[in-house]
Amino acid sequence: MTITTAGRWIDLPTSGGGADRLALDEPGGAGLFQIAASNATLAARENNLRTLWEGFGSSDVHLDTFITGEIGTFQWGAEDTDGGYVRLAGTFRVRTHGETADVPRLHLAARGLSVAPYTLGLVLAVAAPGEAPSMRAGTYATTTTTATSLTDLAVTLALTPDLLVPESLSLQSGGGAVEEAGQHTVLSVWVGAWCTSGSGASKGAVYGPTVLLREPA
Amino acid sequence: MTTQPRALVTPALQSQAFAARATARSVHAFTLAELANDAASGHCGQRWALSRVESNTFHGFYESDTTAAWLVVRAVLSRKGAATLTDATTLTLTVTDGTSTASTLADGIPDGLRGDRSLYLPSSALWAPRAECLASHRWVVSLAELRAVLSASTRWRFDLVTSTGSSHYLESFTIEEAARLAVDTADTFGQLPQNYLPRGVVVDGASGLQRIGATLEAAFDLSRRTYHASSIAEATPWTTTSTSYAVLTGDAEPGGAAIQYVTRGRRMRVATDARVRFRVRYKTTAGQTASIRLHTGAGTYTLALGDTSGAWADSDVATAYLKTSGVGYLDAITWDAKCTGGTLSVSARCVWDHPL
Repeated sequence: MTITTAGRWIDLPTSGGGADRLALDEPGGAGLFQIAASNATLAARENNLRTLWEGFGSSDVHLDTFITGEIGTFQWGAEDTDGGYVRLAGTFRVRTHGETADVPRLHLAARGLSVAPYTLGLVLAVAAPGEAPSMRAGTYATTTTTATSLTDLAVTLALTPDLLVPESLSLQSGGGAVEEAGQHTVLSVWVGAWCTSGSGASKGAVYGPTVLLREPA
Repeated sequence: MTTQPRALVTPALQSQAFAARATARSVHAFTLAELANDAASGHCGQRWALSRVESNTFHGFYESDTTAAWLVVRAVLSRKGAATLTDATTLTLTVTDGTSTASTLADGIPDGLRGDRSLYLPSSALWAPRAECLASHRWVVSLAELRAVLSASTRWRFDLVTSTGSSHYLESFTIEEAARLAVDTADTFGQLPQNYLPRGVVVDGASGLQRIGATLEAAFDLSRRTYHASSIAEATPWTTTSTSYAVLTGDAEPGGAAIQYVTRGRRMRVATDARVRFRVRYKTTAGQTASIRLHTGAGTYTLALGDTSGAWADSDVATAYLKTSGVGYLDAITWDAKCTGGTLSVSARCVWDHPL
């Protein structure tokens, strides 16, 4: 078994104080460097995990998937006036989880309710920037509820490296020389909800949808 | 000053490499430097995101004391109803520290974000499904250029004025810190890995081990995340007239409870809660004061809001904590507020890292 981090930050006095363990002539013991490497690995993992987006939700969700029961026909083009709830959360940088080959999980949390006897569904999907979700297996995840009182809903999508889209960046100030250049990986995140009622007379609702990156399973 | 490009890679460095009695090799320090660089500036995490908005004014907050050097700004237009290809959308972004404002090209606001360009939908908007005819735009903003203008405070505010065409939505607008693609010795952090080449002398100072320490500290202190950044159109803000704490109008679930927003605090010390800061943009009726509370799994935190005499203002900053030991390491936050009289209006709320 290999160990890269202790899994918690260990204080290491540095930056020139009297107890600076990395100062000139300080002995560089094994433990010192193990702590430094452990801290750096932990920070690289944890700094990557963050909240990406929050929405307000909708109290009028009554649009069903185009074919009832087939999530692949979710209507990503729906507008609020259709009784749909669709939001492009945005395009965000996503990297692998620290030194591992795993990619963080994408997590959608919200509260929602349906209306009897119908079902409310919540879908989280990813796509390349500028594209609509393909609904290909592995690019989306869903959850449903028939609860008629508000209930916690959560959808977790296990991201895989092939979903991350390389994007070139050329960073320069005021049209001058390029100061930094390279590639990062991004993906676009879409959030949607549907209700099998298909009628404005029977509405589901979603409140406080939030998308964040969590540690891999 | 030396600048060295770097790829966004997190190297694996096993504890075993530093075992007692093991031979110390240059590759160990080389890799440690690269790992510390990545931890410090490879995962910059502040952002602001809006979804499906139309013409109005929106605000977001930003802490510029960060390891980031660049912001990536993205806007996506979509069709509203039937498309009219001559409809245009303009975006005007300014950044202020409360005293000075960056608004020009020379200040660092690029073409296309100064209300200077008309943004259109593609012609496919006439026939393609709505989600398949988006118009995507991307800009890069230099924090160094902004810092040359904004010097009064490290806490900045983004102001976005949108003028959307009648058949347009601003489907998405995001500002996200870019990961650093270089190590720059002019920064207070960042270690050039080549300072640890085989047979090289490890020296003190800017190229020595202390620089790795400073880089690790930056990874902890200055690589910040935005945990919550909700913004509502300034013309239709969240409000309350309650003189006791109550959920803001427009921020309530059926039944009256506040809408909750789930987040995940950075979990650096396992069960020790993550320290954060929060602030809001608000206005009060003349002669009145107010308070807003942030509820997290770790506690309830109050921010006093002074009289703004009906003008929009940025609040002070308050400290809070996010619970890091909850189920799945997730925490949920909610807001409520009260005022001494009149109406309290809130148009932006932000919670971001303030590491301890």
